[in-house]
Order: sequence, then C-alpha cells, then structure tokens
Amino acid sequence: MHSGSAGKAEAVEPRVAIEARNLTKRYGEFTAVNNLNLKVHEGEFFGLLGPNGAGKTTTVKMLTGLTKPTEGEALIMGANIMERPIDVKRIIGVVPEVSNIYVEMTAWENLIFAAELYDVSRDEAFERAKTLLEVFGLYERRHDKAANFSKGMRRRLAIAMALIHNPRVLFLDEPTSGLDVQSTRNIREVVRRLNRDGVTVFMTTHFIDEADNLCSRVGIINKGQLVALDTPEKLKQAIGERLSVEVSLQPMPSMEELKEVANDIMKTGDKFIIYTENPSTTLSELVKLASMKGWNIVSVRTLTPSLEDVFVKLTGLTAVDVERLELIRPSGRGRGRE
Amino acid sequence: MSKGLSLNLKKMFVIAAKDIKTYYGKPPSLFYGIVLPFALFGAFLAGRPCVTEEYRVVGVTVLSTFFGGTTIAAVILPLERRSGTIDRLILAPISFKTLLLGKSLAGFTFSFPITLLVLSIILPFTGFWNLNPLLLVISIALSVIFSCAFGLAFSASANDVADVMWPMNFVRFFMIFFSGVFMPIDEIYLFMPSLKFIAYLLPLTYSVDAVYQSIVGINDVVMLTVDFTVLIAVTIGLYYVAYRRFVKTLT
Repeated sequence: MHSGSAGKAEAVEPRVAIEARNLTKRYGEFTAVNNLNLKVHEGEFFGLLGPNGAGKTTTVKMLTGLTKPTEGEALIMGANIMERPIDVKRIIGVVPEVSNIYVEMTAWENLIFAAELYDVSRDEAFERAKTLLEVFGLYERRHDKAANFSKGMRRRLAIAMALIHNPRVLFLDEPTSGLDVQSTRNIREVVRRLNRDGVTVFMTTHFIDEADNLCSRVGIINKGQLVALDTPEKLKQAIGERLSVEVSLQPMPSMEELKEVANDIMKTGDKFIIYTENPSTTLSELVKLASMKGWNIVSVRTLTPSLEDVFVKLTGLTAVDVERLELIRPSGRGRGRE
Repeated sequence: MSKGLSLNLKKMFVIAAKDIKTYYGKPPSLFYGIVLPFALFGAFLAGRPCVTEEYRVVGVTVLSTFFGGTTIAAVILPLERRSGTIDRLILAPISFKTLLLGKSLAGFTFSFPITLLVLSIILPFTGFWNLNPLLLVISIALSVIFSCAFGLAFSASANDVADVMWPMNFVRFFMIFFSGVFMPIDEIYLFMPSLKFIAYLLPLTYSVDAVYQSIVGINDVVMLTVDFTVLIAVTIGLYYVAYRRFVKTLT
C-alpha cells in the first residue's frame, strides 16, 4: 500500500480509507448503482442505508472486488481494487449478506482455514481464533460443526472469520438482518469496539435505528443513486421537519380545548401531537393549561425529526412502507425523542 | 523457490485440504465420481463379454481417472457458489489461478489414489503384461490433471451441480464411446472408417493410448509422445477456458 504524502492537511484530516469514484454497475438495461461518489475516512463508521434492492450490496461488491464495476473505480487506502486486488484484500475484512461459512467444518476449523488464506502464522491464528470465539460467545461450541449453529451463531462466526487477519477496513453487509436480539447486541458491541480501536467500518443496513445509533456518517441510497450523505444529526436538521410535543392527558381533553396552546394538533391514540416552533414554550403553556383545567399529565415528550423521517422523505417511501418493509425494529420505532 | 510461489502453493494445498474435508463425502461426488464409472464399466462388460482383458484394465483405469477428476472439479465450484462460500475465496488475497488450481488439486487427490488402488487390486489377477510402472503413473497423473481441467472448464461459472452434470455427461459419454476406452479405435469405426478422425479430435483418445501403452508395453514411441503433448496442451487450454469463465462471473 502506498502511504501517500505526509503533509499538514493530512495531519488534520484522516486519510481516505474507502473511495468510490463514479462507481456504476449495470446488468443489461438495469442500472443497479449509478455514478456513486463517496469517501470514507480512516477510523470512520460509515453506514449505507437504503431499502431492499437500492444497490447497497452491489456497492459493497464493487468496493471489495467481488464484482467488477461497469464504470468508475473503487479505491481502498488509495489502491484500486481491480488493479491491486491482492494488496487490497490483505487489509480488508468482508462479511457478505449471507453467512458464508463452511457448515461441514467446526467453528475452530472455519477460523483456522480463514487464517491460512490470509497467511496468519499458526501461533497467531490459534491465539486470535480463541479470542474471537470468546468475544462472539462461541468458544464453548468451537468443536461443533457449524451446520448445528443457529442463524445468529453462524453470523457471529462469519464476522469472526472476517476479523481473523486484523483488517484495517471492515465491510459489513446487513450484519444483523434477521438475527435475534442477543446476536444483534453482541455484533453491534463488537463492531463498535473495533471502530473505537481504529478499524474503518463500512456497513450497509436497512435498519434505520442501527445506522442512527452506530454510524458517524450515513449515506442514503435509493434506486442506485446516493441521495444523501452526512452525519445522522445533520441529515435530520436538513430536512427541516417541524418539532413537536407529544402529550397524554387524563381526562382526555378535546382538540378545541388544546387549541389554546397551539393550532396545529394531531390526535394519535390516547395522545396528542402538538406541532410547534418552540417546544419549551409550548411545554410550559401546556403545563399551565393542565393545571388550570385540572388535567393530569400522564406522559409528555418532545419529538425531533428522526433518521426515519429523513429516509422516508428521501426515498419516497411512506411511513407505512417503512414499517411494512421492516426497515425499523420494534424498539426503534417512531420519531427521535429528546 | 520464491516466497510468493511458496505462499501460493501453500494456499493451493489449504484450499484442496478444505475441499477434501468438505466435499468428498457429498452424494454427487460419490455417485458421479465412483459409482457411475464402475457401474458403466460393469454394464459394458455384461453387454460386450468379447472385450480383451487388456482393454478391460485400460477401460476401468481411464473411466476412473476421467470420472473422478471431472466430477470433483465440477461438483465443488457450483456447491461453493450456491452456499456463497466461493465469495470467501474470491475475497481472500489469492490469485484466481491459485484458487482454481487448488480446486483441481482436490480432484487430483480424489481420482489419482482411487485409480491406483483399483489397479493394485485388479492387476495381480490379470497379469502385468509389459507394465511400465513409471509410465503408468505419469499417464494416470496426466489423465487426471486433464480431467480436472475438463471439469473446471464446465463448472467455472455454474451455480448448480445439475447445470454442469447434464451437459458434461453428454460430452463425457460421447468421448467414452468414441475414444476407444473399451476397444481399439479400429473396431469402433469398423463400419464407417471415414469417421475415425473423430477419435483423434477427442483428448480422451490420447489418455487411453498412453494408459494402454503403459500397461501392455510401449509399441509406438511417437504416438506416446503425441499422447503426452496433446494431453498437456489440451489441459492448458481447458485451464485457460476455466479461468476466463471464472473471471467473467465477476462482471
């Protein structure tokens, strides 16, 4: 890998770890990814968010050399993946969408095989395999064939295999899709720790809350086009959604009675959502009104635009689509809370 | 040996060892690689009892090398592609040539010992004629390597074992019946001698002749040289086809 020139600018801004330049992939008439440009800096946790079929997996495949771009180029640490594939593959770890482990082999054999492919010395391979199996909670089952593993265990083993050679850049394609809560938490925690230790992470996900919670920067891809690229918070600000206060009162007042606080009110179930420019003023007026009218405030919270709102706005999906397509988990449903 | 070459060789063996562990016991490997050639041989013997003893030995040897080598190479790649594990190999820092050679090494380690084992059981009962052991080992090795390349060329871009086996079996059976596996070429084309050129277009004919001369004694050195040259040239050509087809799957 060439290290690039050492200059003042580089000392301030981290080196570019992943770069897509006009990356395009066409399958016949169908364009899966269209003219994608992005840079991910070293040590960054980047999330590529998009609905199913948006082009996330194709993007990862082009960035990792699993598929050849129709146009454009992919660079890892400055090296073109198509021109210097062996150099690049030595420093990346890839976890594809499907847990590609050898089910006929044990967890231990899978890890040692992966280590041998990456020229990891025998002693180091044994040490790292033990550590990784412990980290992913698989050490007790190390001599079991992977065929007997649950989906979550297979996923954890696939990630462990991608880490056996200490990659500097880690690609994760839908790492927690379809997994149980325990596996999801384990994977998120490990990946978060890896990123803290300096590993650049490029993760695709269709779970909005996952991207919001883990990623320092997010790209939203829809129909092969990158439609947004920024930090989750900046994206939320950028869409200019109104702020609101959600309140539940006992006994339940009428909409007319609440109009003394604000005009734009929506009733959802046993709650009211009061849209406002200034939540703190609205909140104090609401408390005054409740005390005056003898209402009991059961719950109250201010709502800010969530990444889900950004996603819905930019992808053209409706909130119902988002729920139907399981783009959010039950725990992460709804707008952002303050 | 340079470090790069030794690392590539090591990875080739690592891939082959994994394939041996993973795929030798799979039903398609056992059926197409062992059961089918011996069943075919038995069926032919039952139907054509007049075939000479030398040809029985040559026939079983060539069938074992041809079916064993082609089958393992043709089974592994589609199974890996179907399970997604082929991506793990593509993503590893190894060249595609090393990857494909590792796959064919798994075919070689399957077919070569089986063929030698079968011969070591049969030959004490049939007599050794003018058997040349070194030449026989070389002929069998070249035949197996050619067969592995043949299987790889068919399976390099396939996603399913059945997608490979149907067209490959058609070609394999055609080659077996027109390459003189069970009887001399002259007898096969007795009623249509003008079609004899077909035999010389089929690489298996050269494999049969090399094994035949190794077992019954060298009777035509020029032809033996041609046998080896053709087998090596066709093998290189087939590996090139396999490589191109494999690389094309990335587009």
